[in-house]
Amino acid sequence: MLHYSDDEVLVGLIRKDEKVIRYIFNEHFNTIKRFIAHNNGTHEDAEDVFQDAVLIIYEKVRDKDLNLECSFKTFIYSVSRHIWFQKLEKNRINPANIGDIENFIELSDEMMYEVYDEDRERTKIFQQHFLALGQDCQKLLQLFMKKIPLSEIMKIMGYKSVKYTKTRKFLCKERLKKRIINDPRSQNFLINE
Amino acid sequence: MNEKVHYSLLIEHYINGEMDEEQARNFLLRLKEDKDLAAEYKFEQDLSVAISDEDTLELRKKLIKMMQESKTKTTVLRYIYSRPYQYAAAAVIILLISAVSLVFLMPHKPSNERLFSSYYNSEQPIRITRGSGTDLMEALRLFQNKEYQQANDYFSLILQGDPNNSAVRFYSSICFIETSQYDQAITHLSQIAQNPNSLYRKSAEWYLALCYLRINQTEKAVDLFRHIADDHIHDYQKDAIRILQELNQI
Repeated sequence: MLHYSDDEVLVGLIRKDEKVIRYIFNEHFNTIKRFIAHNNGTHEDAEDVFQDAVLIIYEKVRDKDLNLECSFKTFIYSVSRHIWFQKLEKNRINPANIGDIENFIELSDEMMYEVYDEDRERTKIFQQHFLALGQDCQKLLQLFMKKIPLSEIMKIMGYKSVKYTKTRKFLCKERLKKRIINDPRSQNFLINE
Repeated sequence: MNEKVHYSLLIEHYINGEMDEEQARNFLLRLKEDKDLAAEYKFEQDLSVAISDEDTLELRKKLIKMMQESKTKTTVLRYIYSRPYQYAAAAVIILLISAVSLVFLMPHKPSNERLFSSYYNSEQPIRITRGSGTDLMEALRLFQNKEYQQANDYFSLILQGDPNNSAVRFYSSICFIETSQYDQAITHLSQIAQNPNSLYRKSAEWYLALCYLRINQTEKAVDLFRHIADDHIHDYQKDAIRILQELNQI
């Protein structure tokens, strides 16, 4: 398998290069999975945390807000560790007993504040369920959100009438809503509203 | 009009800037008072935030794909490695059974899929008399044109506002069958079949049994075919007896 330097990983990540993303996944996911399993988490928790960690790092690199002062390996582990810390705290589990399996760095206050919040969690849940919809629904909702005129959306999607386009959009949105409401992770922010 | 659709349209008009000043003011006032409208509006905003960030959406999509691939690979490999001899033996047995089935069984015992196809009648006479909304007219027009996916979108829309309309639920389930979404068809048909007052109950029982057969839940299908065969005034009694004979269950 190809080996990428940390700089190449960051450049590939910002380009969303599939080979680099696969490299990150192959190199680091198992460590995060072991760490989460070691600290009372499930495989699904590990997937969730890993997704969050990669996206946070991606956003930091994209916004030129990251000065990597350790190896990428240590950094992704530290971010994942921190996310898991916050999740445990939220569920009133004392993170003081957390068991580490790799070297880590303490993240700065500023970084820690940004790593995990309710808006990010909500966006993640919306995105995950959106991506689980059929291609047709995904494309239709995206066109609507871009405020493209209905008549044009109708043409792009190959529908026969504007009325049907509206109906279809409504049903896709309802399908998405149903999925989100049924997701136990949504309960926190749905109840808070 | 279905209240939810109404809200959706209202929000769309507001977001797209299609309201004049007074309409927009009224909308904002209503937003403060009407909790359902406010919830709908919040959902639309959250959705907009989530899917307008195409960069993170694309990256997440790639990660989810990799995770799913890895999960499938791990499950298969774990199974093979944990039972290498059993796996090899099972593979040989499956090959033998397949070969024997091809040579001897196929001509005599039809598969569930073939039975389903020979008994399933896609030509549904339209029997809806209740309601006459434009959505229903459009749904029926599409249904008759065999545009089942689109017809079903309208049926789903009608059911949102009128969930007890078993006629619409029945035609929606036929659309699901026509588009090979048997699980959804089963959900709808089960609901109708459990309603003793529905005029569509007996048809629903028949199609429900066929759906079970189609997805190889043969035991459930046979139970239902037996129930139909025992009912002397059931529209599908003769068909049920015939299919049970073909399944060697009589």
